[in-house]
Amino acid sequence: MEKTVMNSEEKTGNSAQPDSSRDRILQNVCRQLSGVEVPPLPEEESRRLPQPADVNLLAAEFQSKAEGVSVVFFDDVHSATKGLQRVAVSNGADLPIAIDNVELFEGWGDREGLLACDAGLTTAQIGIAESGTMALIGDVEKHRLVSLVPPIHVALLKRENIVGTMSEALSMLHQDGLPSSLITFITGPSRTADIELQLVLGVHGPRELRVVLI
Amino acid sequence: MGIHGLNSNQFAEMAKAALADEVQKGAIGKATDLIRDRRGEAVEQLDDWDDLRERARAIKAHTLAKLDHYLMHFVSNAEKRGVVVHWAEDADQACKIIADLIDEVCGDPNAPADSDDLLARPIVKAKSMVTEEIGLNHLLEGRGLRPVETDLGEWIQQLAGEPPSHIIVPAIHKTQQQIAELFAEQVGSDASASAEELTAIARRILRKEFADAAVGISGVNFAIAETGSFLVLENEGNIRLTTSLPQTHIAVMGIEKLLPRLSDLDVFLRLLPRSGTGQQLTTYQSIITGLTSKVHGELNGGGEGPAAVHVVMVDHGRSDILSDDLRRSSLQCIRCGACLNVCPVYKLIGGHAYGSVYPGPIGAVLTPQIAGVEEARPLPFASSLCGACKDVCPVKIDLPDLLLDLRKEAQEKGGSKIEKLGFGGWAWMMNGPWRYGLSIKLSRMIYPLGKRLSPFKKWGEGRELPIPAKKSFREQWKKRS
Repeated sequence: MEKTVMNSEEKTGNSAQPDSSRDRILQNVCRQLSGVEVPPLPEEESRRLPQPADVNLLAAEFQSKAEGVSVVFFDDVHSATKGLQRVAVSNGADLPIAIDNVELFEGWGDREGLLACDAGLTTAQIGIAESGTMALIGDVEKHRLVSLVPPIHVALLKRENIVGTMSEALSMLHQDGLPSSLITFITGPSRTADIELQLVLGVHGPRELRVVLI
Repeated sequence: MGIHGLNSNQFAEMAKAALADEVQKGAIGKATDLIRDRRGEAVEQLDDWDDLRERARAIKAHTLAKLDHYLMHFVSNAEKRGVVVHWAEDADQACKIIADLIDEVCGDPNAPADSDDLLARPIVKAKSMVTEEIGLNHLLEGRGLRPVETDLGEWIQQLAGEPPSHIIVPAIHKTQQQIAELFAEQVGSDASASAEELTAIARRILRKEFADAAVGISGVNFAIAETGSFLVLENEGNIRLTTSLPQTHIAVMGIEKLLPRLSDLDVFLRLLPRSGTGQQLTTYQSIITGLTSKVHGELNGGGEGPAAVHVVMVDHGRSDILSDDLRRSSLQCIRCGACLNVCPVYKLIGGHAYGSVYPGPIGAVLTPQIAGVEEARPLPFASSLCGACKDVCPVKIDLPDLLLDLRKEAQEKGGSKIEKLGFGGWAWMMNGPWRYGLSIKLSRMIYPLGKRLSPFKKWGEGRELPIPAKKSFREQWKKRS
């Protein structure tokens, strides 16, 4: 059977004679669902941690959960990058413009250069205390490759941006109705357990995740 | 409409062979026990696990009952953000759409132009069950393209020339020693390499493939109707590389993957990692909403993200099972693999014996529905109906009920004539006191032959037939009065 693949932009509306795959699939979905009773959609719920949202408590919870998945915490960006030669930086406004003895490199524009870096330095826009997770928002900062390609990822996170739960983080990300083109949640360094379930860090992404709370 | 390259109707022979493989049985038994225990611990951390499952079930049940609405909503929002949406009615069409998109990026293979260089470039793939279901790699290879699996477990399976044997842990049936030997043979590494060394080898080889790839193909864990976003979740970072480095990203999803709202992710992100690996959360979740370039107003965002994002919506038999409430509920599945890890049948025979991309209880339910009962007749019977799968399912799919329903269909659609005759006769015998009495007398005569008679011989393997009493209760009663 010969089938034509229609570009979805070319075909819209419901024609009586289904002539594209899109129409045929949607018409079959409608036909099969006709007479099916629709159960209600549960109300949206906002989930919070039981304890009050104190900045220090949330930061402590964040740190303890993140340490549980092999994240290492540093007091400042200098100690976090000590001994590193070349560090890729994303284009975040809050990133330091100079670190002693470290060559900073605008990593997001140059893949070859990025591969030669010892670490990537980014900020994180939201921290999630309950799981030690950070959210990096693509529209704020081009974090995509800098946080992924080098063997070490150094992330700066403001204590005041730590929320309790994933639920709170999702509602912040959706406040204006349009989420960023890319949101990356990161919980610890890259890992695998595909060989006899043995944990190995740093399979495709960074093997170390260093976090500086500021 | 079968599932490519596999034959579920050979279940009995394949299961028998798997049962004889002590190394594989050991590897699978050990690994599934470990994941099962980790899952148990992760679930105990929450005091509202059952409420959470009920909420997830209700969200999925609602979405599937209004699937046409949510599909339209998702597609129009994704298109607004620059995503190109394609629709595939079956596996062949889905493969063709993807192959044509690759040709567009890499050039026409029939063209004599200097496109050889591009065609030799790898197509990097992030783990995706739906691309296994449509047999994508096979088709791409047939076109002279080179799809490369980048999830470590999937890559191991690709090197071995085998399909994955578990939804979450594709190489669960292999020991470290076997994997080290496979690597030694295929990429020339040390045959006694440790898990750490093997992982480092994979990283090094696959880094090069990522750098060279022009197209990345991923699956989709959840698609969000209200925003046109989709989420992929992982531990390794290979999905992030697949969706970030190549200039074209193709995401392939079954049409059932929808959720109405972004906030619904909270409940599913609490359920899926705990059910799948016993983690509170996997290392990475990427929520992709269209093109970076649409936001930054520049093409390819200065090296950030692909220049084109395509979503291929795959039906492949899904829309046909929407009308029935029970059957429709099987589309709630979020592919966590928890039902495999607790299934006494899966634990003994592993994934390949099912002859199906989706193994275990959920495979025994999905495969006959997607491929047709004729193509997978033994699978609904490959269960003891113990119900462990139903107890762990994070979206509360009633797997035993579905298995029974499919057994019924399998029997209606041409079960063996002898079997039908046998059960017809049985029903007649049981339907009157005199006939029942006669059946007891007959059973005493037949019993010594029972294990030798062909229909009972197979059934009697590994079983003890009940020994009929010398005098039945009814006969004793009659004598007394």
